[in-house]
Amino acid sequence: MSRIDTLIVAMAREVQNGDCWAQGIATPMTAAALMLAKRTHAPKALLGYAIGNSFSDRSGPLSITRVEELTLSGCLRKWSFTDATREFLPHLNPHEFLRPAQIDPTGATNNICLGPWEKPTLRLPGCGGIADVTPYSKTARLYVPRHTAKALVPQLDFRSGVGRLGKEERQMAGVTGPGPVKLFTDLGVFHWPGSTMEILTLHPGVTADEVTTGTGFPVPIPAEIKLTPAPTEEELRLLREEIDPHGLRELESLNTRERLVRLAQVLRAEARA
Amino acid sequence: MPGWISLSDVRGQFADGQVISIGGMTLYRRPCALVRELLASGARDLTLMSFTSGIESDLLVGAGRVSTVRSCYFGLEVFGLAPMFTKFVADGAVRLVEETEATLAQGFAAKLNHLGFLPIQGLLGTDVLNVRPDLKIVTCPYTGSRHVAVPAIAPEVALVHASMADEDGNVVLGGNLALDREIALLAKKVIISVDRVVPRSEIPEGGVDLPLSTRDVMLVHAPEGAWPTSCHPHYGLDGGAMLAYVVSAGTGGFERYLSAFLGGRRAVDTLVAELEKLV
Repeated sequence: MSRIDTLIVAMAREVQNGDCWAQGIATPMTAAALMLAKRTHAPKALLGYAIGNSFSDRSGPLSITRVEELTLSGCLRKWSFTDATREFLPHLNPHEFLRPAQIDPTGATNNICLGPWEKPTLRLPGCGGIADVTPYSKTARLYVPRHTAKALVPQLDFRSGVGRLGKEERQMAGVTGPGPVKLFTDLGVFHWPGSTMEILTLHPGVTADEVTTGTGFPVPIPAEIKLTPAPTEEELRLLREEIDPHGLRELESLNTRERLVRLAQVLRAEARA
Repeated sequence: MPGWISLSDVRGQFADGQVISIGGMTLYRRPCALVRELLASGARDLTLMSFTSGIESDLLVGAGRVSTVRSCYFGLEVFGLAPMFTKFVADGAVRLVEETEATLAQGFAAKLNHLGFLPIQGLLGTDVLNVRPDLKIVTCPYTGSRHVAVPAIAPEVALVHASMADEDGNVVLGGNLALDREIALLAKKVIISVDRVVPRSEIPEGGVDLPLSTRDVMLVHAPEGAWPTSCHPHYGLDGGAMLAYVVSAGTGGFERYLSAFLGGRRAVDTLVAELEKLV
């Protein structure tokens, strides 16, 4: 059982039956989690997909080349991003897993650039709708497939997602949202009971040391660390055999070189299927 | 009235400095055949005002044709960062106007409604406001709450690839609608490539995304016109071509890939076969 599968199962369990969840741009791992939830404890969840721009009730198998067969074929409804920004997102208020490049101690996030905006050392793809929803959202979760001090930083290079602000700061900025609900990583699940990030659970086998060295800011280590409940055999079987037989769910956790090699393998497997 | 033209006629439609919106969504239903003609036209100093930007936009950036990018996501999804966009921005060779889903969607909506702006709930508390000095804050006259006022915007040129259309210009986009309807309604110059031309009887009930029979748009019959991106339900994403692009552009081979892309699918397939031996 890999840490990535533990992470995905933890994400899946965050979905409650009857919730509406949206999968955002460039977050393939979330599809695995949402579809696992749909097949297990949340069959009535309404799932919206940025890939497809649709509501769909299919739940696998994941694909790179044929993803639209999953989210468009037989879909419930197609929507545009005008629908999404004017109705679906503000009013249906879907829960979302957002994947930032950087997170600071308050849960504010960066999907824009490393280094200064005017002349970045690395320009990232952009924040999509993160800057739109985080100022008011009560339903945002964050996920980071590789929990490292490069991702969890004391100060963001650019703030494109709003975190937990104090009452005065919120008033001054015109922000109404409380910040992200939780952060899911390959080390554990984290939250913001106060103004800075704390451990909710650590995955089986993860040490407090890994969290300390893997985080660029202090994280209090509780005397008694709660464990993320391990995936069941059935959840793992569903992931491996029915939802994601080609192993797309690990792609975001790999470095560039590993990811390209794995992509080639996945594409070959998809061509054969 | 819409006019049917050939792909090569498209080439003459472009000019330096145009503000162009490229339809589709990340790696799906992008008008790549039209972008091939844009590349071949040599038009430069372009502004890309696209909801999202993928391989087709990265080819334009890498070919040195783009001066400004306005897009809420410029990347290749699971294939990684868009290599030329990443490079050109770090080199200071492309100007950025930072956009989000709402600034683009609501900006187009404002223009469609003949309004100067629309208020949104987002952006407050983010650094996006620091890099968008043009954005103003307004106070709601009824509730007193503060909102960013997103200015009305529109492209000059819209390039869209559609799943099918009938002869009269009743266009069915397919899926991944993004903001394609909006740009096709707003742009002065609209070029829509169509994967399949079908008789009126095959248009599904209520299924016309763009009833353009009364508008002066240009329609092009372009089978596989979204390749290497997908065009649901006709064909999926060409993952090999995408992977070959990332590998080429990441190892100094951008020009080679661009040249193959301009040559068409067979040229890229040859390149893909060569690179497959390496990965």
